[in-house]
Amino acid sequence: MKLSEALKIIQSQPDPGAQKFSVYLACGIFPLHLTTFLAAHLSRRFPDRAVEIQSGLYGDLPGNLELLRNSSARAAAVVVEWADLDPRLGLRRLGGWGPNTLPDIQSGVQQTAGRLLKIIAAAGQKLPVAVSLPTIPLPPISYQPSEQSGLDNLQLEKTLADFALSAAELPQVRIVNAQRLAAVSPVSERLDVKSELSTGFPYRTAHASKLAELLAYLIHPRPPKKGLITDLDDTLWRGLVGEEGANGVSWELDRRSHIHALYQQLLRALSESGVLIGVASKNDPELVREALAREDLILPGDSLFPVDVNWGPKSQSIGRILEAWNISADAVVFVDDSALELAEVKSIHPEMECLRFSIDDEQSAYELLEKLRDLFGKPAILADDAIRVASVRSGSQFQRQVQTESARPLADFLKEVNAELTLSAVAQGDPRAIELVNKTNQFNLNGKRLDEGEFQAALSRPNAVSLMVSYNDKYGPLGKIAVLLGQHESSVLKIDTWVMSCRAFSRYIEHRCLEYLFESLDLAEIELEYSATARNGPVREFLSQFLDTETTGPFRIQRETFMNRKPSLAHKIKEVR
Amino acid sequence: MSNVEERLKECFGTVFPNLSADEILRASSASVATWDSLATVTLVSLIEEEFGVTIAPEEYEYIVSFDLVNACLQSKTINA
Repeated sequence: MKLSEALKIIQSQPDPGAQKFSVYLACGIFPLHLTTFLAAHLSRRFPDRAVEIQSGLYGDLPGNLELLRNSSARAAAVVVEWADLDPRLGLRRLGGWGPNTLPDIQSGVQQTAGRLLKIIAAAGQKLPVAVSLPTIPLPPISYQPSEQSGLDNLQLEKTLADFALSAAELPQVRIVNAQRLAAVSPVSERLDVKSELSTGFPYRTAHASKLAELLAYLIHPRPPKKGLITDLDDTLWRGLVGEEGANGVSWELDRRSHIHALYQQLLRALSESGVLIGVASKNDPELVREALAREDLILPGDSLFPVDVNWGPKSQSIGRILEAWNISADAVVFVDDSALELAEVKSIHPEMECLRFSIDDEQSAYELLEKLRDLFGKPAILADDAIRVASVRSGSQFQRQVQTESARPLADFLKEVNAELTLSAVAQGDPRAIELVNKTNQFNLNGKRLDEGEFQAALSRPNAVSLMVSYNDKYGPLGKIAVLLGQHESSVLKIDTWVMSCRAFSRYIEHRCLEYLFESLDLAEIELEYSATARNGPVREFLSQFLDTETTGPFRIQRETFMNRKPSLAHKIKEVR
Repeated sequence: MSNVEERLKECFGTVFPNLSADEILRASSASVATWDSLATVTLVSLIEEEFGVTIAPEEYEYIVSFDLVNACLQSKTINA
């Protein structure tokens, strides 16, 4: 992004009446264009918000971080440069680079890093913090030739690495990936000596833009994709199983097909971190079953679900997989070696990201692996990720059973399968709760997204009520599947956030939640801050059972109406305090 | 109006979005209330980005009016 573009983005921000999103930029440099670029990149991520960047005083990073305590910011970007750790490592102060000075610099850096860590830890309790470690190379302090890593430089880098490691372990603290930054902003093209000496802003504009872009991403990560659908022949393995047989296809170095082994290894890693992996292949189902049963397959065959193998159009296979997963096309990536198949799928599912596996170009196939990692990247792996594949599989089994026994009341079936809800208040900073609110589209009361700061504020407001819902039955746990936030005033509960994972549909969980709230809080009425979105039809359908004339939210449901119209509910309730 | 002048007007318009095209031609640090040191530095960076030139700190004394900046820039682009 050029500076002129950034300035234009800022000038075209929504009117000042729009909801504000304030970010505190804590740094010791004069932030100049970094402020501009950070505001511009955040505006791109929050097009309907009025982005505001707050900052402190020049040359006092620890002091500026202390000011965060009283700031109204929703997030913080902390930019550390060597000069913040010891002024002698900057260009605007003198103090000696001689060999006798270096031990004192080491000690200064250690002390400041320790102090910064404490302040960042305190800030992380309050709001999300994105931290960038020194991006400007060390000045020429070492007496050794530049080709050699001197002990002093290594010691400084170790202090920094220890600081980064400790900071990365803190809740809500995220560190800018130096390797990623180096790929988009080469180290030799970062420092602007003229600007540093004349204004105190040490970055070239291109570097300031790239650094700001990464910080903006850490402050507001894009939602990760949820599922990957892969082709088999010349994608998951080299060769055509229909021609070469189950034992003829390969993924090994000796047969020049190792890139497919790397692809399988990546899919396995994604699956283990909660990504759904399905198969869409034009093939003979029996041969595919045989190939997927091979013991040397790196990606276990049972981690693939569904496996949709037939001779029909792939777009139809993909439609069935999306239905089984119950997620939308824009949360899914399709990988195939055939440009034609990718185009056919894209024409039917335009929101889906369709990526080519190039069998003739290993470099580009490897770059695909890097891109996939990026598309599915998430800040942390949660307990629910480990059970996602199993829960989708068991959910599919559940739905089939419900359809088989469609003549019986669902309540009887739920009782028979030992449906149980575990209910608790939402814990401050629970990453699964924040993930649910920011990823769920279908059962979402109003489509409202909450960043970590807003989420904490909702939990801390007066008379706050929150509910975290987990589900389990004889087919296995679904994990934490619903979050509800609201405020309780006398006999009325006002719910402004309510989301439920699509994996938990058709189990009367939403009915049971409202019944529980009516009874446990002794409510006369529940008011729901409903707004229609492009995708939240399931919420509208649910609420319409209890409404007579209302057409737009907020909706009010009276206790008597609810109790008279709700279906029979048989879930066991386990309360966790 | 030269191409350099047109592009310079764009730079001024980006830094001072409230000025009309005519006001930009007459703009000076004395007449534009928002023309402070921060605006000067931003203007210099934009000009460097747009024209691929370097403006040395000692040349900042010319960054006080559209006419002076234009003259400074014309000499740089002619001499380049």
